[in-house]
Amino acid sequence: MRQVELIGVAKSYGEGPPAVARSDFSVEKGEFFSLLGPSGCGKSTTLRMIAGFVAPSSGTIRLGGEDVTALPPERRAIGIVFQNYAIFPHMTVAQNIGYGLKLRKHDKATIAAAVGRALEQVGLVGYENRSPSQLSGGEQQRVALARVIVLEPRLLLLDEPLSALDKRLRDEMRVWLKRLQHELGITTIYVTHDQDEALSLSDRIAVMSKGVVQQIGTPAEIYERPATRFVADFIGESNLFSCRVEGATGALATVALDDGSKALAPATEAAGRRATLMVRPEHVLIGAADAANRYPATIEEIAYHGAHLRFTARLSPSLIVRGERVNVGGGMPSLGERVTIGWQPESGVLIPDAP
Amino acid sequence: MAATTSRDGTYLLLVPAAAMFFLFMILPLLVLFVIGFNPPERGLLAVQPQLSLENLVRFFTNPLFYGSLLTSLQLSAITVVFDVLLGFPLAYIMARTSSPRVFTGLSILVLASMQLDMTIRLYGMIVIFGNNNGLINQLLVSLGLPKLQLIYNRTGIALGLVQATLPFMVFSLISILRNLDRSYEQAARSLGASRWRAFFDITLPLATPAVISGAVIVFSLSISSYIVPILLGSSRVSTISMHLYQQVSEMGFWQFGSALGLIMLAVSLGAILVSFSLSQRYAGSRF
Amino acid sequence: METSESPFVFKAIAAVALLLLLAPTVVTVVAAFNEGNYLQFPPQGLSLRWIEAFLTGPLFRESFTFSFRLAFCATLISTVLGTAAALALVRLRFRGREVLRAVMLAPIVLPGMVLGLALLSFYAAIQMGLFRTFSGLLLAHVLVTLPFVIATVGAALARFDRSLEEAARSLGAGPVRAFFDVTMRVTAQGILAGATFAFIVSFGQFDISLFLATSEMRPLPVALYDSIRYRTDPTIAAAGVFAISTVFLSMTLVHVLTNRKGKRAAPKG
Ligand SMILES: Nc1ncnc2c1ncn2[C@@H]1O[C@H](COP(=O)(O)OP(=O)(O)OP(=O)(O)O)[C@@H](O)[C@H]1O
Ligand SMILES: [Mg+2]
Repeated sequence: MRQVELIGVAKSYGEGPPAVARSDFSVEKGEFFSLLGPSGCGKSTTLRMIAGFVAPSSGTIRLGGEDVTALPPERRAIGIVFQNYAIFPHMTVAQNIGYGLKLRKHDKATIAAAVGRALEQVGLVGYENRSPSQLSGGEQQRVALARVIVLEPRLLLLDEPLSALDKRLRDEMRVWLKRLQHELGITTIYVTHDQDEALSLSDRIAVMSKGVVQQIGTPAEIYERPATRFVADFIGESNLFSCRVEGATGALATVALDDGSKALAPATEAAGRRATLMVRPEHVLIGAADAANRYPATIEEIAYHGAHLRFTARLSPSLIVRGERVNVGGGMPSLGERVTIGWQPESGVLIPDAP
Repeated sequence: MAATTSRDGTYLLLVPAAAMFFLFMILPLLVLFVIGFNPPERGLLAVQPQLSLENLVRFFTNPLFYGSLLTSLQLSAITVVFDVLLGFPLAYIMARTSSPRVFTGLSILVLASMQLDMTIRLYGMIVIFGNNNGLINQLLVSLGLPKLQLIYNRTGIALGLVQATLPFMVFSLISILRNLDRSYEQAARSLGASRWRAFFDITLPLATPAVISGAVIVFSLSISSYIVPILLGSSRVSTISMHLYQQVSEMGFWQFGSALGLIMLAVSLGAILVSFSLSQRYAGSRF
Repeated sequence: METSESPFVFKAIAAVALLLLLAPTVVTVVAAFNEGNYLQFPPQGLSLRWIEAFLTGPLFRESFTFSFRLAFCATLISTVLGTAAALALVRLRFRGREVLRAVMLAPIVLPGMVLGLALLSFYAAIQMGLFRTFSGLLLAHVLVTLPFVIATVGAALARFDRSLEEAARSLGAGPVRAFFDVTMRVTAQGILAGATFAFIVSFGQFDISLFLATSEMRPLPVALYDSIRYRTDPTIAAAGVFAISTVFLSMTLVHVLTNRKGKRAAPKG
């Protein structure tokens, strides 16, 4: 069942290109959905339109089938956690968490019981009477979540909730957040510019760029079959070669790279089209005796990353390929060495160029 | 955000205050403007339909009146200069102190001295600078020196104006000096500039906009001050504010008084415009 | 690192500046406790006679209380109007906003005497019961105190983190409720500072009251001025002591309220 639907939603602030241009997507009940993209691409604007803080310039937003486009934030029953948590500084932890229930005119005993349960869920039992200034970043984060889940919202919005935490805590909270979301079964939209976070947490991801949703899919789809050059470039490391599709033989097509060399790739594009061939570094092999795409090359750069090694090889004056291999010992070519590198045709992805 | 807030009716919040300023500032100033151009009629406080330039002509042809404007301008200029000379060091020290307690203490002293009743402060000034029994003259006499005529003349007015306006200059400067990153000055020092060189090359230019905005406030306060010249001046030094009060309250020349008010207003607004264009040009030349 | 932060010349000049600012006040306080019959310094002996004379005389009974009442009413009105206006000025982006803001801050730099004269003429022209009445004087004081509220509260609201208000909204509070529950509470210090400023400005206002005061409605500054012009006895210094105390207390309050670091909640034990 569709819990959230955005239909042709767009927003522009004054002149200039729109902050969000015609977004269409929907989020299923119980799904963990991420909006991923670089700074300024319109993630927060999208989230704030769903929450009701920003009115869309056009389009419709539905929540549980109901059109909420014109509804003020307080009547949407959406929970939102801000990047800076927005804990009310003049209220205690318990007052913060109980605020929404108080607005709903519940009696004191009910509120106290619900606050107690919420504190238990977020692991902050005994923090009732603390003031926000006495909380660490991670604790504030939990209070912000408790304040929202105590109301059992139909949708949870998280705007870069982990970005203000240090790395260790961020990893810890990431695991915790995912488990909590799963336990509660609450539909969640998560905004982040951190691809690791999006890939590891989400059921599905929408990748945005300059106000436009580029691709929507599961983390594996996004990583393995990026729909646009932007997605391929933004998610993970990649080799991107401009090319022209020459002709297909069965499942594989021959493409001509810009420097004239040929490669085989899955035949997803018609002959004659211009496209981008993407090869992830982990698929690039040195030696590559059994790979169909093989090229003589010179090693230009080697970088040590602990668990793996990265290298750059030059195929021709205008073509370099980056590769990566797991550091499990064994010989590594030296700088300037002539080697053969290659990859399996199936590990390449052809991305159509925008018409 | 604009769309959400207009839905909330945030605009309505502006209405009462905007109405207040329109009804009780802009309209009255328009009335003043019209009366200033009405033909003089002693004792009549009303808007007349006829317009005339008689008041302005009278002002600019009588040395008593235009001379008073020159006196006011001169006193205000002197006040600005002394405020900068005295206020800059004080503001600098306050901005640079590493002790929050010193900063708080000095701020409260300056803030309080700014808000304290002017009559009472001037009373204190008379006690200190009095020509016969003033503290300073008592001291001079006991040292066998001649007495100085410190008040009831131009010096007295200037002293009083500096006393009255100095806090405004200090606060205008502090707001900038406090936020001025000290590392600029330190960078200059590490590049080989002496302390004074760094001050004149770095700190002073960066603080110029604050000096300008402080100068406007001080100038405008000085040109329109009535209580300082009346209590520390004499009948031989007349300022435009003294004539304004006299014409209106003592002689009932509302039209001429209004014209004097318009001239005072024009000078204040002129100072604001000049400083605005100065700081624009200044900001422009920096980048 | 230098041992002393500021050059000696600066310290010397700053000392002169402070002396010029504070000496008149100190002298006034000392004079108020003077035993003698007229203005004298150094005083001959200590006494509370002038304080007593002030407290029992008309200056206190009429003008001090009148000024207090006037400042109280003006503060109340301008705090409400000014906070509303500051909120809109901080939140809204519209053409002419800067002009409107400049207009609303203008009374700080416009000559008070001219504004007073303009208001008097205006009141006389419109014939609506504002000429030489309390309401007329009160409105004038609201006008000159409003900029201080707008500037102070505006600064507090500009620092205010809007996501706090948005959090309240999405938890179910309407716009008005969210303002009173969160925005106003968190910026309370700024609003209080603005109100205190307004009070002090009205209480010490001379220029605008000069033409608008009447012999029945004489605010303290005008009364003090009148009394120093016609007769100089130390009652005025005694009045000064009260004015000084009022101002010092409120300015300490303003300073503490506006300079607190961050917006910390009161720690609960
Ligand atoms: N209130 C506003 N008024 C005008 N422009 C705005 C406003 N809010 C956002 N924008 C613009 O809209 C675009 C999208 O902003 P948005 O905050 O949605 O980006 P984002 O993807 O959340 O970026 P970040 O990762 O930096 O938070 C930006 O170009 C931004 O400058
Ligand atoms: Mg954002």
